[in-house]
Amino acid sequence: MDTMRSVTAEDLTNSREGFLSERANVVAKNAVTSMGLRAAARVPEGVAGNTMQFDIDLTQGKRCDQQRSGRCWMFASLNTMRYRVIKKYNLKTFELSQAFPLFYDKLEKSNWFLENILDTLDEPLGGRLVSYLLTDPIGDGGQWDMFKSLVRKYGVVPKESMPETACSRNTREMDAYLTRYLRGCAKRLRESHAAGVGQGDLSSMKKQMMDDVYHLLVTCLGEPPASFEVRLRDKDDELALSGTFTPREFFDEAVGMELDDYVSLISAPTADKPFGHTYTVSRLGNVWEDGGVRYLNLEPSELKRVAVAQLRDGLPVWFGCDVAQSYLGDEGIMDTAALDVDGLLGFPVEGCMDKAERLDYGESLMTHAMVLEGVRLDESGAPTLWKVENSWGKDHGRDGFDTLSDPWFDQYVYQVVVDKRYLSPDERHTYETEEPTVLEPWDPMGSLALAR
Amino acid sequence: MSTTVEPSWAREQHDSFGGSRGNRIARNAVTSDNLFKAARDVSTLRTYHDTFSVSRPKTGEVTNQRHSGRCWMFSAYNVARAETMRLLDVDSFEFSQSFGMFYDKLEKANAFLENVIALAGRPADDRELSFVLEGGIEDGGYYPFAMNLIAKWGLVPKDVMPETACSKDSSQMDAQLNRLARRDACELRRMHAQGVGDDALRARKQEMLEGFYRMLAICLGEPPATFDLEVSVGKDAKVPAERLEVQGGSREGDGGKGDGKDDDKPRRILRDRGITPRQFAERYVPFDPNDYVDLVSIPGETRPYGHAYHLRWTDSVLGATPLRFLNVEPEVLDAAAVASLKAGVPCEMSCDVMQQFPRGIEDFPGVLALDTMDYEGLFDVDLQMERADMYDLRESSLTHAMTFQGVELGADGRPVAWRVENSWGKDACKDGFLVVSADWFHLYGGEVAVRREFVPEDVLRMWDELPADEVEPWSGMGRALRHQSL
Repeated sequence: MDTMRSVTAEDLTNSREGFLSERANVVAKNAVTSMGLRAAARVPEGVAGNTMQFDIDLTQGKRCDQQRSGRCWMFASLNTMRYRVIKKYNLKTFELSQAFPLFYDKLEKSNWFLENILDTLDEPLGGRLVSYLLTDPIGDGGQWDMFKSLVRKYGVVPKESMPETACSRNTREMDAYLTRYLRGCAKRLRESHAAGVGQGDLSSMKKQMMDDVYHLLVTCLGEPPASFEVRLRDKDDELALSGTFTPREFFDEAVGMELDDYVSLISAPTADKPFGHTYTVSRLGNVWEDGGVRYLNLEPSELKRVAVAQLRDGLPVWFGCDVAQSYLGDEGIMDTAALDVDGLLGFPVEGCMDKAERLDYGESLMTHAMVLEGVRLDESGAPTLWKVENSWGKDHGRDGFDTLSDPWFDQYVYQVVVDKRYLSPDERHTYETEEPTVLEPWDPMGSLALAR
Repeated sequence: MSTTVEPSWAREQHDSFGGSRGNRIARNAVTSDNLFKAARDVSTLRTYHDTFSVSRPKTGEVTNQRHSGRCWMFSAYNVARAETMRLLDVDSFEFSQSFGMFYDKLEKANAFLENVIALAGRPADDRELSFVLEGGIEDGGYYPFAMNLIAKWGLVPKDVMPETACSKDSSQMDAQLNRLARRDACELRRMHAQGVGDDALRARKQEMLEGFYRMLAICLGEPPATFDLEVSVGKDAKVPAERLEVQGGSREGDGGKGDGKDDDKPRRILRDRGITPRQFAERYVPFDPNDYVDLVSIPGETRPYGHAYHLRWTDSVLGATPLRFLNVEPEVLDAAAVASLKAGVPCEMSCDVMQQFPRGIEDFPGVLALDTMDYEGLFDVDLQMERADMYDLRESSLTHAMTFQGVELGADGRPVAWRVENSWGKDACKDGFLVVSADWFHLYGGEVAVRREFVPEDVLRMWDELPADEVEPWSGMGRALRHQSL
């Protein structure tokens, strides 16, 4: 036995002796075996700072619940949009249908996937690219730019006009069958190509496949309405909006948001992505004619500056983060000071990598999109604590809200979406004109928000 | 040195507390969950096994006293029912505990009023009278209480007098019983002050008991004077043939292809009509309620071993066998309990159950031992106390009665761990049972009630012949043996 390569009995004896000789280790072991790591690492003094008190505090309608689906990015996007409807018409609360964009997202992602298959017919099946495309072709996750494309093309509808269904509340079965069908399509397209079928005929095959996809989606989610009646009553029970709308008309009338003004800013400090430049991710998108996503990479301080600026102007801010890190889930507290895992274990685990290293070594990436709706500021106007609207129902956190501390923002927030007028002239110029660097499909910045 | 807590001292404590990683971890864990979880040591818990070299089979379904202090009665009934289950050849049998509760409360009301009469000349804040008044008509008791009740009032099967809301949770009923008891005490004391003699007081007491009977009948239902026994018994039931009816049996002509095995077996029904609860106990509980020795082991200078003790102002069934505890070395208790279990006879035990007991904790394997809850490491303090000191300084008393059903013996023949049947339902502890280490029982246990046959000659002689020392309720012995009621 190579004693340096193998775990030896002597190694274990040494580890064991070292462990039990320290009171802290024994206390840690007893606590963790009973209650788990995070409960034992929860620092009461750190938690105490996370009170729901903010200098800027927007008022939102009742909380929404994405249930067992990965639609956080849709919920976050729709929460920024319904906020405008509620304000505009002075409503008590209001929800936009989340099943409606789910339908069109699956439809567009299916098309996007099949087009990518047609675009990679000569790539080896076992190669990294085709393998990646086949891994999760129509998952629930998404990005702001993808949602923007959906709304621009299809509009939005009130929740009552396309309510939740079993398959929107829990997408697992629908996703599984749609994925299976699409992988089968990929096989047919690739084999037809190998048999010498030409481009035009393959495109026709794809059109036929998309017809099946439509059928599957209607079966699971119902048919999206082409038009619908709307009667909105305000807080005084007065009729605030009345009429018949198509989904796009309703967006223009009720939400009235300049979609193209809202741009994605990311903050990824890895060596391959210098700050101050734009990036896109190869083969990431949904609406074919819109192409993919576009990010401007900036320091975290810039993300915070523009987010505070937009909140000051009374508008919520879409953001993406790695929600599971340093998170007290039941209480809805994202705060590095609220958990002391490293003290509990006696050596750095949380602290063993910095933000860039976590991205490079696959430890962290964006997993969840939510909405910033308030912020507490210190004397100098710098943010100390953020108010977060989550989409896990009102029983989560504190009436459905989470809080996020400033140090946590630095470590685990990867993206905010703001009106581009808050960018500096340089930043805006870069975003609008620079040819973006194309990142590999599997780059961590290509991750999609899908936490449930 | 200062007699007060100085802010400067507190500041120093504050500054040094966080310097210890152990302190920080302990604080973080305990503030976010609870002490039981933070102190539990799974490594030592794992060393206790739920296997016993001596273990009674067929202990019956685990019973549930719910929110009442009847542990002693449940334990006594668990001992007694073993004989009924053997006689009737059944896997489980339960006696009505609300029947027992009815007569226990009635007897306690009588004893309470008699004690009030006996102490009628004392001032209201007299220490003994205070003890009687504070105790009132509580749920707690002892194995001998149950034996006196069985001997005097008998037993009935559970379905003859099932549990009611007030037997499952006695607090509302107890509040009204105690109100009536204290109100009656008030009247008896006033009569005494006006010169009324004991005979007249006793006559008034008899009238007062009617109120208690009414209250109990309303809360628990009336205990039956007679009832018709009808119960399924096994094929080896030792009951007179004329009371046995055999129904069904193997279906004939199916060529032995019968599927449901149980359906093919004949049903044997024991019928005994119009019997009294005492007749039921005599015929179907082959068990002598007077055949027991109550051994305790309560060390301390003021309560030497080798003495018998009687608790003053505590007996419940007046005119029956008074309480009597023989104080001996803990090994005597061990040996007697082992002898009983080896002979297949369960026995009552009592202990300070909440010591080292993480009640309600998830995944609790039902182990009571001395090294499974590490409070000393968690707090970094010394919590050791001698057993005698724990009784004298009010840290411990025998709060809970349960039933020994098995024991694991070491190579030296001494107990290593006990199998203990609890009465908190089958979902409590480990399927209703506890594994109690022998050293835990030596430190926090202290009583067993066993049949005479399992006690050595010399101990039996002491039990039979020693005069009983009277125990004041507020003495170390009195507190150690305060009502068992958890």
